[in-house]
Amino acid sequence: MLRLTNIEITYDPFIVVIRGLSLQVPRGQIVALLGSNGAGKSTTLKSISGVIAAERGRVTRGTIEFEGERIDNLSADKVAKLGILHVMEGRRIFRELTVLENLKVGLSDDDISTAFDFFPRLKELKDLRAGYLSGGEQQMLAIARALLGRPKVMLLDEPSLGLAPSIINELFKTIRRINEEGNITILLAEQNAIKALEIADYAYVLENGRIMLDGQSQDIMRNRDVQEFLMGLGESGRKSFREVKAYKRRKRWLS
Amino acid sequence: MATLDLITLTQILIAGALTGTLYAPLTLGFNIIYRSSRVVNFAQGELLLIGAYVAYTFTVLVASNLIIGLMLAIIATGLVGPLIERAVLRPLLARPVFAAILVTIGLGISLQGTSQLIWGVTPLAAPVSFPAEPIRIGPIILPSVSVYSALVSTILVSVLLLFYQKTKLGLSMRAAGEDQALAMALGVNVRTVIATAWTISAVSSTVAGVLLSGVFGFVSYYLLFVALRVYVAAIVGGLDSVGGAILGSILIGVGESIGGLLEPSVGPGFRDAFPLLLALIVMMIRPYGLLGTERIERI
Repeated sequence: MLRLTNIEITYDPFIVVIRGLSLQVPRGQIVALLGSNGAGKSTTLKSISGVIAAERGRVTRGTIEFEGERIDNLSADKVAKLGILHVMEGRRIFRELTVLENLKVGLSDDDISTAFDFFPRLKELKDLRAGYLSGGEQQMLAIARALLGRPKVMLLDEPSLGLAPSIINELFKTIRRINEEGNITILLAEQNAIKALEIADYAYVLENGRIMLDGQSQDIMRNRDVQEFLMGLGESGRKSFREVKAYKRRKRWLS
Repeated sequence: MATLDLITLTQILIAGALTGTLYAPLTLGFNIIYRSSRVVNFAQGELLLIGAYVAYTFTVLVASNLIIGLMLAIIATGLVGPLIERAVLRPLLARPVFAAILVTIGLGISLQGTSQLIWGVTPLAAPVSFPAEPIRIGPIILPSVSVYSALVSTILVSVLLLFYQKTKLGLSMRAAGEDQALAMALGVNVRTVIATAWTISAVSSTVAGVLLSGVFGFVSYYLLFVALRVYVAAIVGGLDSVGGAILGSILIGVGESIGGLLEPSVGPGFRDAFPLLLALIVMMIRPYGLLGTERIERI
């Protein structure tokens, strides 16, 4: 179980980005973290994995616990060794290394076949320099890479970013498989709310660094505000400008 | 000029290439730091100087046996790596590389000062003196030190190449060089990686220090000027390539030989200027250096 309690995240030295955020990721589940740009999804993931230190950010209040141990502000490589692997946004891979070398970096299983089981496409490409892969292949490589670190928890940051719908479908099926067959807990930050809610068990909706809403995926999916603002369905019946304005004001005050 | 025959020319080229291998261990030291952290180490000359001084201390003052003295010197300079990592570079971990590059300038200045405090400014005896007898291969006559340095460089390069390609730490270095934050997120201990890189660099610089001071016959801050050529060699060869470090060093060595040959007809200083001219031409044709990896930029 990964548990964030009332955390506050501050960037360089006093820009508070996240305030009083609490969330739980129970073992074996897929938990989605939804929200638009700038909501704080990536920041939250980075604070868990410790990568945030590279951006001069730190957890200034609250605690992050993993299996009963406090991991807030621990250095990234130590967090990774505890079994939390972060697949960063924007398909971060080592572009100059070959696919095979990418898979071997860091904590890595000697048996690379696990990666090829989930992503058979990578096997054909294994001797190619990773910078030459297509976007979808790079994302597969990034996830496969983390997979070889034998994670207990995987933090996925916008895996669907900039990929074609068909590839996103395939990717999300694989994520579900990784969760079920690999028995790996997943915290998934996504803007693509529909796709994320399809595979998630539980979801949190983040806005301006706060959690606005949380609940079982099905419930979140039926929520009118989520449908309108995150899925862009716009069928919530809130048609007039006045109604939208009133809604926004209410949201602002509640936050 | 008219008397220049084929044998003399061959001899000049070979001697130049061998002089190049004299620079090679230092270029490699420079190269390995760049490769593991993308830091251009402006303290490389000082590492060379310190290496030579430490070698002097251990071979001349401490141990009477040359081999033991050199071993001790290598161990001692090897400790410099973790020391620099902990004291100077750790606070800059995963920060902009530029900051670390500037810090190496400061590091260089303080190492220079420290070395003058400890060893003074008067030239000291070279830790190893090479036999004055030149080595003859057929009609070609070569200084013995060049032959030793060629041998040492070959060994160093082979070991390093194997290290990069076959070991986990070598792979971690290449990965950390490309993206430190990502490497850390994957569980690579970047602190160890950087400390190792500096250790290898310091040891390699010590080897260079022993060889170069053997050529000059003394240890003094003059070695710092030699180190300037190494930056050029590293850039020409390709900053991130082991083979490139050697090739670049050899090119500079050959350039110096040819420049020296032409110096009487062109003008004083041409010996030092000609390698830079060569470097300029290479950079125009291959901006990444002779063997440097071209960055993959997909737009």
